[in-house]
Amino acid sequence: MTEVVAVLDHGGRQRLFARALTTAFRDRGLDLRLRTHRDLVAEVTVEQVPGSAPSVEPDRALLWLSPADPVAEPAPSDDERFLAAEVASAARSIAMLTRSPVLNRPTAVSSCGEFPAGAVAAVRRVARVPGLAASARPERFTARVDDRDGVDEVYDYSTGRSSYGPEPDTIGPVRRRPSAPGSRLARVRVVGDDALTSGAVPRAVVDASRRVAAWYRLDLATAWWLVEEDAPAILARIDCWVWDRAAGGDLDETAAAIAAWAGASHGAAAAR
Amino acid sequence: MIGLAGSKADPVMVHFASRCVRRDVAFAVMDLVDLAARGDWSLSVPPRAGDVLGGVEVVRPGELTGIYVRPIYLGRTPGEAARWRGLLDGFTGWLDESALPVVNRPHHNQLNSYKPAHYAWLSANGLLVPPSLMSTDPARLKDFVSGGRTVVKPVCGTRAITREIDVADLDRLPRHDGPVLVQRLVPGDDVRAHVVGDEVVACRFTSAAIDYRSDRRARRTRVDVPADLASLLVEKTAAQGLAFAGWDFKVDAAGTYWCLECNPMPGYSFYDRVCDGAISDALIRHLSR
Repeated sequence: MTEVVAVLDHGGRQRLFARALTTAFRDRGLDLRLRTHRDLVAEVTVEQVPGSAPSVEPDRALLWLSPADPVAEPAPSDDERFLAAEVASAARSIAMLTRSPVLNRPTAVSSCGEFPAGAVAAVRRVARVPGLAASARPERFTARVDDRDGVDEVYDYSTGRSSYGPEPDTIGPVRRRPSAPGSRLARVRVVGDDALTSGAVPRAVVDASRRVAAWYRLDLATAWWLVEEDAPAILARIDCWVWDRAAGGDLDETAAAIAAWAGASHGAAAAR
Repeated sequence: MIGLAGSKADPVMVHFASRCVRRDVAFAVMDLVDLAARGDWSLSVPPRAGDVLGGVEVVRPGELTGIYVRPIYLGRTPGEAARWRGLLDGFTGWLDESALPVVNRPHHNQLNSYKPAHYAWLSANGLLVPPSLMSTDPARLKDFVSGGRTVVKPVCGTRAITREIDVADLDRLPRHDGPVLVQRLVPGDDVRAHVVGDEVVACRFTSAAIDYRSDRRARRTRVDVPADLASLLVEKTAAQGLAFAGWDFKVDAAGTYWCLECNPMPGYSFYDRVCDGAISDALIRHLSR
């Protein structure tokens, strides 16, 4: 039986996701192991010898579903913080060097495909995808609220809240983007060759989501678009992690699509 | 005019600013810590003419010739963290889309913080890297350490004193299931080569200590690395999206260069003093174009 390792917070923020994955993989006859980053590191050895490719033992297909183990509460000691950094670094190295298929394999520039670390760059860089220049809005960042009028999308870093136009208690710094008042929000989750949508989503938006995921070398990505009649769709946000709280009710479908991806990837790898 | 974006508490920034003064090169200071805490700033992405950073100095970043960035967070409270994040989101977004020379532009390679992946990348890109092993398996580690002189290093790139380890030391390592990274020790001199754009400035250290930085009596000289290696370093620095990098080597008795790592944000002031300011001068040239 093919063994696949899902690296995620299966006892915490991704408990429901882990349960859905377990069911979906069992239904496909695939053996899924749930691991934290620390578990993964404890099981794997990486050896490098000049002139040879690195050896990763055991070398298993991975689902790279979280960037690091959750930080312990209360605030960890310096030693615990160092150990957490060592584990995160070792786990990411393993995921990069594994020769078996890795879903959302981290790269030299990102912990998830080539997806930029900052939310701003993640959305703005989509303007570089051929044909999607109009999908990214200009943005403005200010230390304080210099204009209390208007209906721009405003994110207040001091409170972590978003609004249309600044709230009376918004103090900043703020991130502002032009709003699209006549638009509706559409979500597309790309999993390998599949695209899961919430409600009716124009075909062009689904295609654009696939191109964005491919641009960032992501096998699993969720894109939120502002869709308006007779206007190019605007990318509001993109994420490469799936958390129970923000999953949007399609964990079972997402898990089934991931299992399909794992089955197809294993078949392709075996054929090579 | 060159822009310096960082902290006045950072000795590397102070060192670079001092060199600019000695060279009579105009510069503007964007103290990111002060800007986040007290500054009034406005940044557009993509950049626009009215963008301004108003702290101790008022700087219009679009009017600079180039920017040297070392963002080091020094805040402690959630409020300070929120203000820092707002400034950095705007500033890194601005830098990402600015056409100015930036040392170093955001979103470059991060491999130095992931040592096994870093070693694999170096090897795949034409550099000779000493054998290494990352494991939690005591038997595998013991086997590797028994095979020759060995050093132990952090996996995550945190700066630490590199130290030699033997089999007896392995038994004394804390039992925490954390990864252990060991690498074969290469006896010989150390060479640090800094690449700035297409220039290479290198210095060599002869020391009996495992970590020459801790040896005040180490013999230190400016050197030229072999021309083919210099070309490779320039090419591979750019390939990582970097304009400035510090490459560490051991040079064995046969003259072979063994690459230990490439640092994407080198704290270079120590080496610059050995090289009589040549690294700062190269940075000034790069950022003044």
